[in-house]
Amino acid sequence: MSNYGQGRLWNCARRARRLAPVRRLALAGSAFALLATPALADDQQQPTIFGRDTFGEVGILETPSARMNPDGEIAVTVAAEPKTYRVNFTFQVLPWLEGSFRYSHLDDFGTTGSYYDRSFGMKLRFFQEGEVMPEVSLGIRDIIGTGIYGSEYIVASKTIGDFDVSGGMGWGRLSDIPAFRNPLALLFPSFNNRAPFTGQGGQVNFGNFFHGRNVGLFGGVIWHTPIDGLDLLAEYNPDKYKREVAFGNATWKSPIDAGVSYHLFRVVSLTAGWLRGTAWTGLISVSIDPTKPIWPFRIDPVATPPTVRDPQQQEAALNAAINPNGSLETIHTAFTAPPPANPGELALAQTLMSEVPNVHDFEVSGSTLMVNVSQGAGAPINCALYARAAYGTRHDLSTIAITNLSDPTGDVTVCPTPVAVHNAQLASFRIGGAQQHPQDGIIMADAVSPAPPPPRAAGNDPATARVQLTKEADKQGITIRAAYLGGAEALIYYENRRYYSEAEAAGRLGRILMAVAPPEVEIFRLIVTEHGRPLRQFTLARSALERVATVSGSTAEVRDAVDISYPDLENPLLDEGNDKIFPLFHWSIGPRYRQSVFDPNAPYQYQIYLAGLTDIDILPGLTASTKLDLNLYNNFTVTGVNTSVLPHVRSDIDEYLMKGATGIGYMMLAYRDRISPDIFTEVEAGLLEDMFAGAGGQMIWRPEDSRIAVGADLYHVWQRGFDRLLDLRQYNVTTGHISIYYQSPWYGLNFNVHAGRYLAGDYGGTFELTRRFDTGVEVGAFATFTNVPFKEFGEGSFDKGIIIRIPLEWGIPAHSTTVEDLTLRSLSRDGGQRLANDDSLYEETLRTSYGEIIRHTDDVTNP
Amino acid sequence: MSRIRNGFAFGVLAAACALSGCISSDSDFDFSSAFAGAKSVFGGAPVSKITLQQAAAVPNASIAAHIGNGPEEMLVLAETSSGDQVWHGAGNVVVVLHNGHLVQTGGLADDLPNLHSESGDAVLPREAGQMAKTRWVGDFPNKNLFGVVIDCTAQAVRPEAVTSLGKQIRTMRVDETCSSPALNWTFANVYWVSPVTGVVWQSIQHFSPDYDAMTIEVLRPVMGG
Repeated sequence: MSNYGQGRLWNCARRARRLAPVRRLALAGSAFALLATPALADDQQQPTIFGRDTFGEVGILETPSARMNPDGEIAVTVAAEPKTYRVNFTFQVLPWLEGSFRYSHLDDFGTTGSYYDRSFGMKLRFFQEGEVMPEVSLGIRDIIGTGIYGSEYIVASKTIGDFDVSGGMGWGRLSDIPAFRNPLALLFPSFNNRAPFTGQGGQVNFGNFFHGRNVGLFGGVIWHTPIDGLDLLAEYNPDKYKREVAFGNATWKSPIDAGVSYHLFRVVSLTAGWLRGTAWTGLISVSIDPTKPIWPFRIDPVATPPTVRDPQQQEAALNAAINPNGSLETIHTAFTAPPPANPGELALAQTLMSEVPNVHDFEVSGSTLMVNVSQGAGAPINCALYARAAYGTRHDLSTIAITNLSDPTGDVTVCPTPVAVHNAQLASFRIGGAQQHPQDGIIMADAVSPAPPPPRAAGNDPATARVQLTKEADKQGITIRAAYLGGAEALIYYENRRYYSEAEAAGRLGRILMAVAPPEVEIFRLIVTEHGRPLRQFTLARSALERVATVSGSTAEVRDAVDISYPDLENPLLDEGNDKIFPLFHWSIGPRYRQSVFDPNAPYQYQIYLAGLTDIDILPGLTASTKLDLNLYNNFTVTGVNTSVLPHVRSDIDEYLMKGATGIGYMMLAYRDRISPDIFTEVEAGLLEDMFAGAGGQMIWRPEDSRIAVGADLYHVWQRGFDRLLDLRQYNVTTGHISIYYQSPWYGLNFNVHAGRYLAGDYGGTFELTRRFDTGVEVGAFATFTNVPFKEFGEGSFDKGIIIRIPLEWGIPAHSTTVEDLTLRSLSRDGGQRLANDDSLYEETLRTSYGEIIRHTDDVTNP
Repeated sequence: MSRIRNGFAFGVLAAACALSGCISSDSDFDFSSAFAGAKSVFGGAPVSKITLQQAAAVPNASIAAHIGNGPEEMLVLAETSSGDQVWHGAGNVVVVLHNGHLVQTGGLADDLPNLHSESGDAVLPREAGQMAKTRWVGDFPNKNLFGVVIDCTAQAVRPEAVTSLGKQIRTMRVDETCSSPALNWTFANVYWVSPVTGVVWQSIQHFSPDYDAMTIEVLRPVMGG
């Protein structure tokens, strides 16, 4: 019964990972505790941590409490007692919802003598503790399992001095010692019936939850002793371990359990206990906080400190930005598309009344700000002052109409904002000539500006600025692909291969420009590229950045200073640059690791191998990629006859990893493009993944300023030979999906749905729910339902698993774009299996997506 | 935790109200009782803050005020007369400001019925180092004292940024020390004044020897005119 524990893991994020194999191994093989250790520095700021029971829940020893640990906490708990151990993975999904997955091994149990079990549990908090009210939660321990640990409960917890007291009533195993009749059965007689443990899992058995003739009572107390971190535990557990006792796995004498627990640095909990009057237990629980980076510092170069121009330079730049060629009429004619609106009447009122004197009142009409002022008749209107205030607050304002109420003529002064001017400039942007930058591949277009350059304040000239920009950006791990600094604007194409947050990279580049760009440059247009393709544009107002730097920057002002959009489809400056630098060659080599877990006959199989990766960017968008694997150590083995009645699209994975321990991971040609500003496409052909070769393509539509994305993929693939070389097997299939992705702002929850045809030719849908933290750590679950009947699917009934994606820079004190995908499947079968990497385009455009940048906007102004 | 706890209490209350037919909303909160009960540390952070959404929902000019670390309440501009800005809050509370100075209160347990400058129109300094001296005369009926003189010296000390509803505003910090021999009362007020427009964006001002200072924050400023 083989498990494809890594499943799509080793291909899914291959592009992101292939350049950092050494770091990949470091993370994949690292001990959980080591990751958690640096968090000790924050010890005093952490909220209360409660210990965990042997089922991984927050609880006492074997019984749960109503408590929840801090939002987002991830814990691995290993509990052992004679003939039984459990490995629990617990995730605090939301502040009021705890989810858990456990993998248990019982010796002397069942007909085979040794039994492995997987189960999912959840606990939901209804009430948080009050002065009088206790905390109250409801839990189910075995939702989609065999039912071996089937039990449900309602539990309340209350703190009394140094004691944390819990008590509740339970169903299923927690009613082995009955206390009274099931109150639900009194109302609904069907609740009397509870099906016994069957050994067949994979389905939610609603007919069992809270069923049974009786309910039991359980409870316990935790004494937080005067010794810091030391707790004494005692509980009453009505679970008599009937099945374990019957099989000889355990003995039972008493419902009283007792133990001692020590919380080491709030990260590690060690517990020892005496259970059922007959057995000892030992438990270790390690917790990590995914909401913050593990390390409080980075060893990378620090961001360039903000450089602020003096007020005269600022004003000169703004005036130049407003009127570069002295013709307001020209500007208004050329102005085409204002940026999206940023509603904020209140913010505008605050800005005007704090920065502009003599304002009487104002009104916004469309993209025009109409301001009435009261100043001396004939006194000149300072357009720059109004433009700075307006632009720093709302990016949708293109014109300011100012009326001096003290002026009897009633004349209205019309001023454009920098937005109007620079959209006009961009619309008329043409390369008049280009010169080769001294550094390889950098094209600098000097003769681009359609208008004579404005007067320059003292500082760098554009040529010097470009050299310094390239040099400083390189120090920060950012490669400048093309740059233009002229007039009031800097237009920079760059590639970021170091920072997981694109906002961070843009912020660092902005800081460099603040330091090196000529003072008259007011607008920074920073365009992220990958494989020579532009993906995303950041537009930064330099004076707004300076203001944020001056006053430490509020969130509102950060948003004011940053505008994100898709770059134009035509990028002549970048094209000129690309022509000079392609082809590009990237390679890396290093050790890697993969694993397969949950196979009852071989619960933990793994391989350590040397991976050599190459990327040849032949032309912009056209890339040849290869991954070659050299086996170093491998304990994969075929553990039994494959009885799957479906085409063996995944269940033969052990064959591949035995016979093809050394082989080709992938070898393919891919072409990526953008067919409209917000639609990305990719076609590819070759050896696409470890088990399949073929050709196909995918596309994704990411509407501007939207958290929703829609994708589609279609491939025809052939199964590869077990040796993972160039030969193919006979089985081939056309597979494809329509996908919808939603990056919700609610707790960072992401909802993804994929519907279509799977590798075994089955039709159905995959549902994914993940929570993504600001650190990029993503945890969630998926389930796939297809037209394959549960019985044909085999054990587990349908494909499901846990999604864990960890940016490497979360766990190490350095920046990295690498993401580790540690997705675990409960079982790996042939139904509901997708081609690895069939939504790679979504992943590739994720870091530059609207939803991802918005949550890291602060990084732009405070990198 | 307290928020959830309060939420639960509110839920129970709301359920009870729903059954009995009563109506409740945040705006019915008795502002005067909140102020009357306030007696705590000077300048303490209020236990609840007006949010951007709450302030933006009110089209009128508005301020937020609290005493000590009491709950923050919103007051809206009711009228402007001879430079006096009359702000009304929920309940019967009225606060009158003149050039940012707190010169009158109504609806509190111990009101300041009148405070006026004998030194002309008291304007706070806006440039660092500038000073302004003002002689105030006020009535304190609960002490049976009327026409009490309070001498104050205000000095602009340094530029500081204050935050209003998440927005950073550049201001000049003005420290003011005051004394009144008749009341045997010496106290200090602080103002944060826009050096450009003169708007007093935030202030911490004493109005009674028996109460903590009142913290006043401009949410939506009064437009000129």
